[in-house]
Amino acid sequence: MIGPESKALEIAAAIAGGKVSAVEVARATLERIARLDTKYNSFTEVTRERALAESAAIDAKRQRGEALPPLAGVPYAVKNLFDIEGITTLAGSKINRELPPAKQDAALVARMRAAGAVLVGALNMDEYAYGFTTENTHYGPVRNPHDTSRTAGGSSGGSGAAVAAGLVPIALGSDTNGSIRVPASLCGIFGLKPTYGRLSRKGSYLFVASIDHLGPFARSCADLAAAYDALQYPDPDDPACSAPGIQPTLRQLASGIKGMRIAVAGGYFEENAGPDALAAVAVLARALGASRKVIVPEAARARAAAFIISASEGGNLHLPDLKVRAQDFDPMTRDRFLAGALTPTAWYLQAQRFRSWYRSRVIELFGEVDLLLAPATPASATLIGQETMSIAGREVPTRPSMGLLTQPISFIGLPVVVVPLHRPGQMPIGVQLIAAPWQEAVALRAAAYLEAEGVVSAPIAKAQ
Amino acid sequence: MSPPQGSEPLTAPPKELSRSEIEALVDASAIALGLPLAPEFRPGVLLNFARIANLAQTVMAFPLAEDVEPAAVFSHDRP
Repeated sequence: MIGPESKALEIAAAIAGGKVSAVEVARATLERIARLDTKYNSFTEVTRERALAESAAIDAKRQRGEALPPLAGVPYAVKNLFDIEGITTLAGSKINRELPPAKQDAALVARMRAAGAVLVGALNMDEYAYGFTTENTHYGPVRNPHDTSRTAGGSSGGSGAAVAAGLVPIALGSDTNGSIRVPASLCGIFGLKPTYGRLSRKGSYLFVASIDHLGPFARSCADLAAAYDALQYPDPDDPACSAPGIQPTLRQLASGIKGMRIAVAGGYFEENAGPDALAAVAVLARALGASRKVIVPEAARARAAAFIISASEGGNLHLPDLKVRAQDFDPMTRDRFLAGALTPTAWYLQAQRFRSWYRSRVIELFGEVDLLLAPATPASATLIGQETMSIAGREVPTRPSMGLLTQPISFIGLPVVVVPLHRPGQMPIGVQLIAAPWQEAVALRAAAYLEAEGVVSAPIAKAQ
Repeated sequence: MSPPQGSEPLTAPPKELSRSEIEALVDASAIALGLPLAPEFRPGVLLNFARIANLAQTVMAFPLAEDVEPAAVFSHDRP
């Protein structure tokens, strides 16, 4: 029986086996979004006609006896910074509403289509991806499906909420400083931020070109790997795309963790985590038999450098609009972009040079370990509108601090899978499984092991 | 902290900028970029710029060898 709890690969198998049609799945998905998303505000656009056309094409293909692609008939949605043919790409802004509709799909949307997936809509986000809470003033805040008074994280908050609520089994998002990993943690689902340069960003709206990544969210490791495999291809049209070729992961998932050298990231990653986050890491370390602790050198400085580069590149990107229509920016991002645009060159360049140094040192660390564990967020989801949060006895501003533990990792493009822990009576929280460059499969294998052991899971939120 | 291998120690640590220095820097940079700062946005910009400046002191305080290049074109070694 296919329902909201069904995983993507279960849906694809049911359609391929003739147990349900792709159009039936699409209609049920559209009905559920219409009925429930008024509570979560995760969608900014529902692509009904396209979903019905794409699903009908899958059914026709099956009726003709043709082999179906791996995600045939699986509904998915994308953060509204991905181009969708015929729809204006908002990137969470009011300003971009004035742009003409996209002429063609973003590269990754085209990949999902080629894999047979059915696009059902575009998802809410922080304006221009600059935030960790998706409290978007133009389009309203995204509400966490596990507690609608709380944020879904950001900036891919709509992606996190839509998957956690069982509106779609797969969503795509972007991650510069934590924008896949923070919502995955706070919404209690799986998220993958691949290696920088792995997935094509062509046709997606950039935030910080030198740090931007794209990746999938799902409610199982197999779905996450299947989506990731479908998205992979080296794209000469994205100047940052330097993937060494397609490296499929789905069939490796059951390989286990034997021989994997796993350590917990100490120091900075413990000092900036609350008790729930530390407890979650301890649970996973026990399950993975990881007793070793390592220090990621200069992680605090890496976070500082990532902050400066993000502000500078983001501010520079939006300088033309900041000059003539700053009032049209979201108050949540405007002053940050303005300040970023004014950042002296020496600070930016020193941050980029430090990045080279830091990358070399962290890569050395991966000579000794294969996988690092670190909390994904300092705490579970905070309340919408909450200005400060407490971390290890310090009262800090909520919005930038949610990314404290993700920022030093994406800064050097390491691949990360976030795995979710659900605890009775508490909000979910995620842990980062961090691997060496291009070793997404290592993190996915460890995640799949934890899922098979029943340590991590992503049940859909009970509708409130 | 001892300096990283191959680097030269700084002669003096970068100093923390005062409120008036932050204001002067923001206003001068805004002029240089032709970026008007509306009075209602100025306090928020100063606050955010001070946050960047504070983090920049952390980064600038780290000695780097001359042969450490910017990672502006950023790619990993292929496996």
